[in-house]
Amino acid sequence: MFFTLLKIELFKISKRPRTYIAFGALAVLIFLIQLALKANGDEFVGLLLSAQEDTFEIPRKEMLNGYFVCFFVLNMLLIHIPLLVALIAGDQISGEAGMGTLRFMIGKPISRTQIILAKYCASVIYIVLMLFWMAILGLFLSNILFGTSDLFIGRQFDVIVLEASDIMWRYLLAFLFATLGLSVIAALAIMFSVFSDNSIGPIVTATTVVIVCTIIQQLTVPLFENTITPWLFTTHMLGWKGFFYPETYQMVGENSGAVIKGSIENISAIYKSSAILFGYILLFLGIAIWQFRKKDILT
Amino acid sequence: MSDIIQVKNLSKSFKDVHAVQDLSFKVPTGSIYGFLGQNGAGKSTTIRMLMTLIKPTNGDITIFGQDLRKNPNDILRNIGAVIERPDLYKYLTAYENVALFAKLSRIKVERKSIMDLLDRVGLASWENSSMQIFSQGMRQRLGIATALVHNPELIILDEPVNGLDPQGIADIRNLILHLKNDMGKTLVVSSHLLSEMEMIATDLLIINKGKKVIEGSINTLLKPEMAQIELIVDHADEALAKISTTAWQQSFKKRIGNTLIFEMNKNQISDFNVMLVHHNIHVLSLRPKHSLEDYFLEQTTETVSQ
Repeated sequence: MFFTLLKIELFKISKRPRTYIAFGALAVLIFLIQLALKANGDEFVGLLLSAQEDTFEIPRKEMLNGYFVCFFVLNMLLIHIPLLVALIAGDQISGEAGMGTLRFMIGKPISRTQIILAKYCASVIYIVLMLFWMAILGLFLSNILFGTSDLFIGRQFDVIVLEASDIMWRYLLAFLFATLGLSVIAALAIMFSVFSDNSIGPIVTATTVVIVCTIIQQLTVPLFENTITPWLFTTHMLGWKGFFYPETYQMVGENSGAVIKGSIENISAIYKSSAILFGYILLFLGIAIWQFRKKDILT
Repeated sequence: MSDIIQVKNLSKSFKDVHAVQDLSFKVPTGSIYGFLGQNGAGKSTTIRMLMTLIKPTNGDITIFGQDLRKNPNDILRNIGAVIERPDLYKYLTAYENVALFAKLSRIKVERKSIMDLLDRVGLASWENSSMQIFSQGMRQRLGIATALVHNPELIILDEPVNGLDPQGIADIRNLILHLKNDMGKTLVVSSHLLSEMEMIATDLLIINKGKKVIEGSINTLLKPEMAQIELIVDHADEALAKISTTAWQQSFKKRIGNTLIFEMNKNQISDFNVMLVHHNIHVLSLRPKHSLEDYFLEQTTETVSQ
């Protein structure tokens, strides 16, 4: 029954016009970024790496390639995509309650737990499709428009150069990790959705929580940095960047400081972030199921 | 005839509001069970508890001989319901809505069966139209189609003729009678249109302020062979004194001002009229009073005044 329910949920999502807002918005945003980088990419790269250019020799022309554009797109958009996820997931239960269809669903021989899980899985599939769309536009289209070359990533004190042949698997894992991160937002929005009988409330609340957490995370004050920030899901949603930070050779000599192909600098941090994100998903879904099972459907 | 639904001591409170209080009733299999009550009487709350939308504070519900709390899915598989407004998915077509609810009911339905059902509710030619453009009557009929798609034994319709025009009301009435008479279904129908209920119901439950007022078959409650006579006279004392000398005294029920209420067999009314003329009682009005509406108002008004 669960898969039938999941198919029904996906069918309903596919039939709603708001579903396509996210795809349209992503297409417009990525296109604007690509256009801007095509027109003024050199100046932009210079601005971006002005601090590192004093120390390192950076080939600007080579740097502006499809991989770099995709990295830039991910950096910019993965902060904002949660809003698009909340738009769909926040509506899952409350939207049905508002429309009055929830009482028809509950009156059918389906457990309430199955309803929540099917709606959550449908939201996750929606996220996967959205990220796949983002990958097509941000990675593959950028590769066509800008060509491919090594990927230069600037950090606070160093510049990482990843060989072109050592990049695609990192993007694959980064997109998978982004799916996990955005799945937390879906669980959060569904949790709020259970408590409400209209769509707007949960969407706004979930979005507000993401914004507040992001602000706390960006406030580099010890009060938050040592207490709250390490546990915020928004902190760990940035874990996808870890796939682009490889290990380097430490020994003195010709290879000193060179990137070790196929390596990841701090895999344990990625594992930890994944575990914390999973924990949040279980927590939010647990609360949603607990509340939904005892909820009186009055709409 | 066995009972398809048995409700015992059912109560539901929302904080300090007692929506349903110690309600017990039985729905006979194969009946059209009319569920009557004023607005806020607790009809919808009770129906929602039958459909597992609301959890009872107290009491037991047995449907098809099974405890609803223990076997909700087995029971719900055999129930079709339209609760209050027929709010279906507006962005789906009529066909898609019915097919979707068939899947939710865990059955595989052929396209032909869905089309037959849409035809039965008069929506076959609207199969590919979005529900958004449907009138209230069409939505109601589509709601009933979704309730029937899995061929349930028990059908629960909450205010099914709400907002319908006379033709729409007649269509739903005929559909309900068809479901009972030709398909052997049991229907629980709540409505505030008492004249409609009188035409279709075989059994009645009247509730008021969450409590049962009366329950029974419509023949027992309304006694169709009996009639209440509302007699309005110019001098009630004088009329009563004259009537007390006759055998009609036994038919006298009560007096409200100059209105005297009698209960008698319908074929005795003309004899009663002759007696009034014979005793020179000045009659302003003589009216048989036997409709469900009168009965309902009588029952609920008494409860309110208690």
